[in-house]
Amino acid sequence: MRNRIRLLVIALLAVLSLAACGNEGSGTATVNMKQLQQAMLAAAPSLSETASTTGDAADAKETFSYVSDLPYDKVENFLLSYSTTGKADEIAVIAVKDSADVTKAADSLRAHVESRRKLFLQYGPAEAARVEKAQVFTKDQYAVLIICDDSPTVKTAFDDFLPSSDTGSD
Amino acid sequence: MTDTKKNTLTILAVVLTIAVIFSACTSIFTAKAVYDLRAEAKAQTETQEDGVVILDQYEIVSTLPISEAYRSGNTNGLSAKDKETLELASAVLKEIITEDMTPYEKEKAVYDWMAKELSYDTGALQVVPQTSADCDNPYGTLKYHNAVCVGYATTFRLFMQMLDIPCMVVHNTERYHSWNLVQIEGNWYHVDIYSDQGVGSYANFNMNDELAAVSHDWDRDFFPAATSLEYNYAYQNRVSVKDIYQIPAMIRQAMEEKQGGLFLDFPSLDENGAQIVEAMISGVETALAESPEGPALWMHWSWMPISGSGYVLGLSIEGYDAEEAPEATISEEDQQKVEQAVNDAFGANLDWESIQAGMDDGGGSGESSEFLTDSAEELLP
Repeated sequence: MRNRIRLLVIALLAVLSLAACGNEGSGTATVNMKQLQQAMLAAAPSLSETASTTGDAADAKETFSYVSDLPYDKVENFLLSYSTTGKADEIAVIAVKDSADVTKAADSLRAHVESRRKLFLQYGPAEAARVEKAQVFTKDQYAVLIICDDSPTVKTAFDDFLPSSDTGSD
Repeated sequence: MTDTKKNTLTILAVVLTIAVIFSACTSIFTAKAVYDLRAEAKAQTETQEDGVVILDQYEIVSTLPISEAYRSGNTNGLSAKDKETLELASAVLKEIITEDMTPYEKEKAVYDWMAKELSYDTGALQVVPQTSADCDNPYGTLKYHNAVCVGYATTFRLFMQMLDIPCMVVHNTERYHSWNLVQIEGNWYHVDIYSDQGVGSYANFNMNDELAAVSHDWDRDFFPAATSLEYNYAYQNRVSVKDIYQIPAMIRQAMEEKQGGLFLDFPSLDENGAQIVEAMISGVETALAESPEGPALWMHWSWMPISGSGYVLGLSIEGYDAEEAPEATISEEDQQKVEQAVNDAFGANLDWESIQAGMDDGGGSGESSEFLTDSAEELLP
């Protein structure tokens, strides 16, 4: 009887340990966000004074909240670069842990874009027009936002940095 | 019942009693937390003047303690910061206000000082805002001359309160901008100095609800109605335009008289006329840009609809923001008239192509872009 109980406990522990190793992510490792950020910024010569950060920063969670309302526990990493001179220029990439959440991440970026558009309509209509040309798209587990005059080359830099895959819709 | 059973029941009774007490305490704390959250949510959705947070971080705070201390002379209840604010504000009023001024003249003097002396903190526009300390209250605004809209609005209100002129701080319904309502001789007017900052064109000075609504929205059930134009600067100082092709000469005269602005009154204006006016303005801007004085002479201009089909065009020769200009659909005959009018007034030698290029590159108001031709097409009957 005791041996059966011991076997039952061992089997239960084995099942639980396998469940703990459940597949939360897409199985694809995320790229180095700092290197990706550098590649995308290098493709945007029109950007002048910007501030940049990634999910590795100490205040990453707070910074992320300015860009997206996606629960932070769903985020694997992110990068953010934005103008520090009152312009609308912005580059953001969110890498989600589960690819199933990438659409939600993109939707949160679109909501952010709308918020920025309304802000600039009040304080700088010329910049609001630039926000209206924002690109938001997805690729694998990445949701991307680009607002800058060099958005085509920045997008190309992003696509080139990642392994070949279908790019999601804008 | 055995002793063991009795002891077991006693222990169970004690444990249950503790559990009930703990549960009750938790419920009370939870209920209080829910109450506090609901109160906070209510405060965030109900309209009020003070205690509103703009852009999630700039709170509109009452300035009554400072203004009342000014008027009573008793500063005992003020904090050190508020005392310093009072000193800074008093020094400004001493410099710009005289006893014989009317309430309107006092209001305008404060507007002129703030539009000229203060600058706006662009850090508020960053994705992750980085604004200087106290940029949202009169202390920081008056000490550092750098503020966000809340700083402008609360400082203007403080000045008005000190001068015993009724004034409120207004915010838009989505809580990302604030400005003022001021009462002059019984009528309320909208004043948004932040939006006129650096330009001082009076485009957002003493507006009625109709003018303010072009670029602002607010809770009209809470804030008083502004229906008068009597003290609207543009309306008071308008110059009637009899011949639209005289506009370049009128601008030239205003420049020679060193007038900072010009307000042109068009009792009625059709779409074609509006485009011709804007083409001439663009031609003047091009002539100014190519003048020996160089790019220091830029114009800032905005349309203001007046009741009926009338419009006032406000021009300031101090600021410039590029905006997209519409594709011109002006006849060849009118193009020649525009060339003639601009070249005669400014001794230039512009052809239509360069005027057109100036329109394509942009021209006109940044803050009042609603009045550019795209919006003029919507506004015109």
